[in-house]
Order: sequence, then C-alpha cells, then structure tokens
Amino acid sequence: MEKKFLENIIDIFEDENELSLDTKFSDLENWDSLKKLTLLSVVDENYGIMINNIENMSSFRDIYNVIISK
Amino acid sequence: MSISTFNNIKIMGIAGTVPKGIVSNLNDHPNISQDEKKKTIQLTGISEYRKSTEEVCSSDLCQRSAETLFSEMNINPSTIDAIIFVTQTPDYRLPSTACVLQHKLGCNTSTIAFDISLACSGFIYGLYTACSFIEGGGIKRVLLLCGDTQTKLYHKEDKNVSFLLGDAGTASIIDFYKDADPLSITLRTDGSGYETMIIPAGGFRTPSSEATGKIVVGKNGEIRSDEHLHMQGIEVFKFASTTVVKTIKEFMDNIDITEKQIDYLFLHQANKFMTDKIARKLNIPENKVPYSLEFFGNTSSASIPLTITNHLSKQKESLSKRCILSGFGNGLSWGVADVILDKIYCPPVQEI
Repeated sequence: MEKKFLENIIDIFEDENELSLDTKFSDLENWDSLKKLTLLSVVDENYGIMINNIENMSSFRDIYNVIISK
Repeated sequence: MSISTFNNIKIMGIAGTVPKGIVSNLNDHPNISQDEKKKTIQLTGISEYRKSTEEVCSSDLCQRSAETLFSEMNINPSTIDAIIFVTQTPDYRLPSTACVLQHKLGCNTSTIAFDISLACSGFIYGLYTACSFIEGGGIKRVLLLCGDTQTKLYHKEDKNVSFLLGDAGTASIIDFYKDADPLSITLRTDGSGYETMIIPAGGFRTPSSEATGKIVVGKNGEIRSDEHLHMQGIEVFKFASTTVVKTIKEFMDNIDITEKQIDYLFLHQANKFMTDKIARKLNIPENKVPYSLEFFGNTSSASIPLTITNHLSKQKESLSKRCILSGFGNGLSWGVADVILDKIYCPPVQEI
C-alpha cells in the first residue's frame, strides 16, 4: 500500500529529488495549483477518495493517512 | 431524482460566433515562463482562446449567430415566439439584453424576451426553459442565446483564469415538432458553494468603491480586485469530478441509457484535465467526447452549443445522434440533458 502510494506520487513529481511520505509540500520545487490538482486526481482515481482539505495538510503522509483510514 | 421529459421538441439549428482576436497561451502572457506556460497548456488542453475588443459585447456575438441561422435556415424573425438570453455579461445592468435583441433582430412585440443569469450550466437551463415554454402550448419557436465575454471579467495577468476563459456567443433554434424524439433534462443547485466562482463586489451586496477596485496580488499568482472574477480552481475540480459525475451517472441510470448507446458526450469545456476525468469516470471513450476548448477555451454558457456546432459542422452528413450534455459552473449550478440531434443545422463558427 505504502509502496504503491509512493509510486503514484513519484509519477506526478518526477522532477523532484528523493521523495518520501514525509516530504513536506513546502520543500517541493514545484508545489503549485497544477500539481495539487494532479495529486487530488490521482488519489481519487486510484483510491476513490477525494481529499477535502489539502490546504491544511503539510506532507504526503497526511494524505496517506486519509487513504488508509478509509 | 427529478427528471423532466419533453416529447414534441426539437433543436433545429445551432450557430456560434467568436471574436477575431486570438490570445495564444504560449506566445502571450509575457510575465510567465515558457516552461510554466507549456505545462499549463498540457494540463488544460487550451492552446488559445478568443478575446473581444472593448466595443464587442456578448449580445453582438449572439446576434450574429442568430442572424446566421435566420438567413441560412430561411427563418423569418417574426416566427420567433421567445428569446432567452443566458449571460453574465449583459449590455446593461438594466434592461434585460434580450429585450434589446428582440428589437435588433426584428422580432415581433408579441415575443417573450428575458435574460437568465447563469454561466457554464446555462445552456442546459436555457434548454429546459425553452422546452417548458413550448410544452405550455402558446409558443412554437424559441431562440436560445448563450454567450459571455468573460475576458472582460478578469485581470489579464491573473494566472488562475487567464489561461482558461474565452469569449463566444451562440444561437439555437428550438421548435415545437410533433412526435420528436424525447428530450430529458435534470437540473441542480448547491448555493453553499456560491463563493467558489464569484465576483465579490460591484453588485448591491458590496457596491463598487475605491477599495473594491484595488488590485491585490495573491500567493498563487492571482492578480485581481474584488470586482474581478475569483475562482477556486481546486474546489471547482472537486465539484466537477465528484458531484457532477454522480448526477450524470444517476441521470443515465434513471432514463435507462448505457454509455454504449451514447454517440456523443458534450461537456461544458472547463478544461481538458477535468473533462477527460469526467469522461473516464463515466467509461465513455475519448472519440465520443468532442472538444472546442483547444482553440476557444472555456466559453461559459456558450461552450456546449459551440462544441456541438463546431463539431457537427465538420461532419459530412447530419445523422441522428444520441447525446448526453452536461453543463456545470458557478452557483454552484449544474444540469444534464439527453438529446437526439437529428438533421440539425450547424454552420461553421463565424468571426466578428
């Protein structure tokens, strides 16, 4: 589960170095509205979950926690 | 789910008009890097859109579309019983622009004419209104006009919207037509999301003032005053890819139609990322989902009729096609229609 989720995000953020679940959004080179949209869309399509409050989240783990709690 | 079905109504023709002026998303926007422009175009699918000059209003674009239908379909303006103009960029704060158009188009004073203030859901709402009027019996022919000059609603450097929204105006002739194929529609509203897309000031809740005209630069590249369009892109995306998809699915289940029976899915042209996603979730293959956004962008209430006429005008024959239409946008307001387009007249998109 964790590995698959990580693969999903690496696909989106291919231009970033060394991503992990604990990577902070604020540490990303490119964290803009286009990336946010893509991330929400990938989570929705792969896990059937629409993340509601991404503006209040700080790292990929916050999203991962929502996915595993469902 | 509440669905209305109309049995004696047919869409006879649709015409579209756009301004000549082109904004190229790759070559314009001087303050944004080429790399970022390319990424945006790749995601939105919008290479360029049309922008009207100061003198051209949405009503002018719609008027040209209507005149094209009148002359090409040999329609006498005196046969128009009602003019419905769907717009959020009217000529005046009052009167209704539809009244001005009744006169300009040479229609009778027995014509019903009024505006509807809706955007991307507007064609579906206008269609429903037209059908209801005709169902009443006194009205045989409705001219449904859908148009906006949205480029006048935002700051041209606002990164949030200046890659997306373009100008266009369409006209559709909707007739009483005995024993036509059934036409079904469902409409929805969720006003809790009214701030998702909003121009906060300049109305009567917050009148225009020096303060509301002040341009503010936001952290995500927004450049706007309170009298400009504010759009929360992420919220729009969530709405379209969950709520709208759910309504389309329920609607199709209710009228008992499968994706295989559909010839075309005509979606409001929000952006390609969003429309692709909706089509994918509905299991409708790409070749059944025509687009006009690549060259015209998101054109508000005009986007569905513009996409239909732009697509069908290029087909050799006008065969009977079963189509699902869905518009969704500010309000929040959305709707879905099941329509058979049969021998519909669609001229090439005009420019003024």
